[in-house]
Amino acid sequence: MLLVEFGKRSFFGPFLGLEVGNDTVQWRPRIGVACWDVEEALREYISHYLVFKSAATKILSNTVMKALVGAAPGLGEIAILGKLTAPRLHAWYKRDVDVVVVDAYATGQFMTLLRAPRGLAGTAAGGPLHRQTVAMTKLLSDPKLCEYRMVTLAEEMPVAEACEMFVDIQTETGLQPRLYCNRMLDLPPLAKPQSFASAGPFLEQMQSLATRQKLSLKRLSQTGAKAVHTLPMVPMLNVVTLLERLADALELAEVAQDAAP
Amino acid sequence: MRQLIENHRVIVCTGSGGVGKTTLSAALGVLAARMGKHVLVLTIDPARRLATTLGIDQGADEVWVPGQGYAGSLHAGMIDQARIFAAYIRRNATDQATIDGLFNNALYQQLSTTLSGSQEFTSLSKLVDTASSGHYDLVILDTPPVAHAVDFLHAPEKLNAVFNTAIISMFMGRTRGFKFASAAWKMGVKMLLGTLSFLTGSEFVATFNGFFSAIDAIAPDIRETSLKAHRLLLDPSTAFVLITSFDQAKIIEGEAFHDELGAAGYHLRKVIVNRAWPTWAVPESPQVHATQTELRQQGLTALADLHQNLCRYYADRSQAHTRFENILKLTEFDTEVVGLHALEQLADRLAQV
Repeated sequence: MLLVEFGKRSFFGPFLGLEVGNDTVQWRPRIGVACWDVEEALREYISHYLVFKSAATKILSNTVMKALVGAAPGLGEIAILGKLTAPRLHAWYKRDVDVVVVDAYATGQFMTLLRAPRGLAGTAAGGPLHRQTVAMTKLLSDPKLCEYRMVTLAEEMPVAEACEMFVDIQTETGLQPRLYCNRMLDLPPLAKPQSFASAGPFLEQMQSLATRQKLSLKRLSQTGAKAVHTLPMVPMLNVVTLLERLADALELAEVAQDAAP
Repeated sequence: MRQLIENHRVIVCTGSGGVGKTTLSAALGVLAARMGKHVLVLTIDPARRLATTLGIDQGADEVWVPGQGYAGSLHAGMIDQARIFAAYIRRNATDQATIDGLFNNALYQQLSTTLSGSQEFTSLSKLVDTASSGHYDLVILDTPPVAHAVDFLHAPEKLNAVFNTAIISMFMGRTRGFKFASAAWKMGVKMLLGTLSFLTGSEFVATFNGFFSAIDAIAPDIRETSLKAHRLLLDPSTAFVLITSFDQAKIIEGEAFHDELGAAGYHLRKVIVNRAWPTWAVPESPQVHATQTELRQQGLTALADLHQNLCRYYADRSQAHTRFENILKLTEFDTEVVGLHALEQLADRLAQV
């Protein structure tokens, strides 16, 4: 599988202790990581079609490419989504992986990304770009090829945004995202804070957290999601342990999702 | 923080996703309004978190935040890019044909609704307008997460590059250089436009051409606005505040952004670690030990273990290596910071540091 993030700066690089860039690096056997940059994606695509590669390099100099990306509305999004969907759209593009997991942008920016192909398709009635953006829109809405997983926190603002985005993704793609509520603390039976001199503030916050977690799950389930899954808060800094604990929780969630009516 | 507010007319809050930029921007606004300032908190986050934080109407452009009774006044603004872009064109176009040319262009129509690209420009334009309007003593700008904040901060130079370099010349059919250079340029442009037509279709290239032809008429105004924005962001009266958390990856991201701000000449005045730890888990505080003892004495072993694990976690996190000096650490709130009352409490904390 390939884990992909978008942009010039990688989060997974420092997180996993890797030098992550445009080209895939191996983190574990069968797990590659890459950080795709808009300009590089565009250069790769245009260069493939240009007959004179050396002239292409000159024309596509950094300044011009930066200006083009800066000037052309939606081009950045299309370049990134184009790279993502390229193996399905172009016979010449090979990517030897079974699954690509995209760590996408936060709410608002993600919706802009997702809407870009439809937006660009609307600027022309025909032609290659129109055909490709229409094909991209179809790919991103095909349940056999693509799924969306939304991760939120048990807090008012993130939950409100998640509920809104759940609807937006369904409207845009027709697909229902899977919902995860992250950093859920597994709480033992609580005691009344009033009876404690020193432990009161801790118990008070745990009580408020318990209420917030319960309310958040309730609000998320009101979206009509097939299931709302919880991911545990792992209070430790070791990255491998953290990821393994989350992977265990995700595995359980898969079973629950399949069993959900 | 009082000094920061007193000495600046624009404060730009930046940082990684999920660190609490919007909440802190709003709390800074509350503090400034309490100090007697007329303040606007402006967000360019398309998720519209500011509206939720302040409990205001999402559709509004600039609103007086209800429920306040401050010496100054607190306003909140969200950027409606379609409306701002259209108003900008109407204001700056010299003739109706330019306005119609743009408004009828398919690319413009998508640009102002579904496509990205205009957001940075409309945000810059709004920032310049509000900061120079004379209505506010202070404008606090809440930016999107780092990756997109970088786009925003580079927007002025990107816009200048568009109108000064090859792209606009290419689409406008202008030549660059003399004799041989001009001939080589023409050949290169022909080849690139040919490739673009091949890749995208001639209709799309025509739409693109139409867009640039129409927008070229207001290019000097766009350049002027972006230069004003650049000057404003670089001005010593504009303070950048970097908000981060104790997560190592976010600290590294914050440090890289800090370097980028410094290299660009922006004035980073404060680094805030938000939600550093809860009040009951302040490292080395006597309350941590007292809570442990009391829970164990009461036989609440599971709760005592949980408390111990969490306190250890927060203490370990606070040891995260960072190059930052003079970090301002804010304790986590026991409840969620939503609504004016909670923001006032956060403003109290900010006022104390």
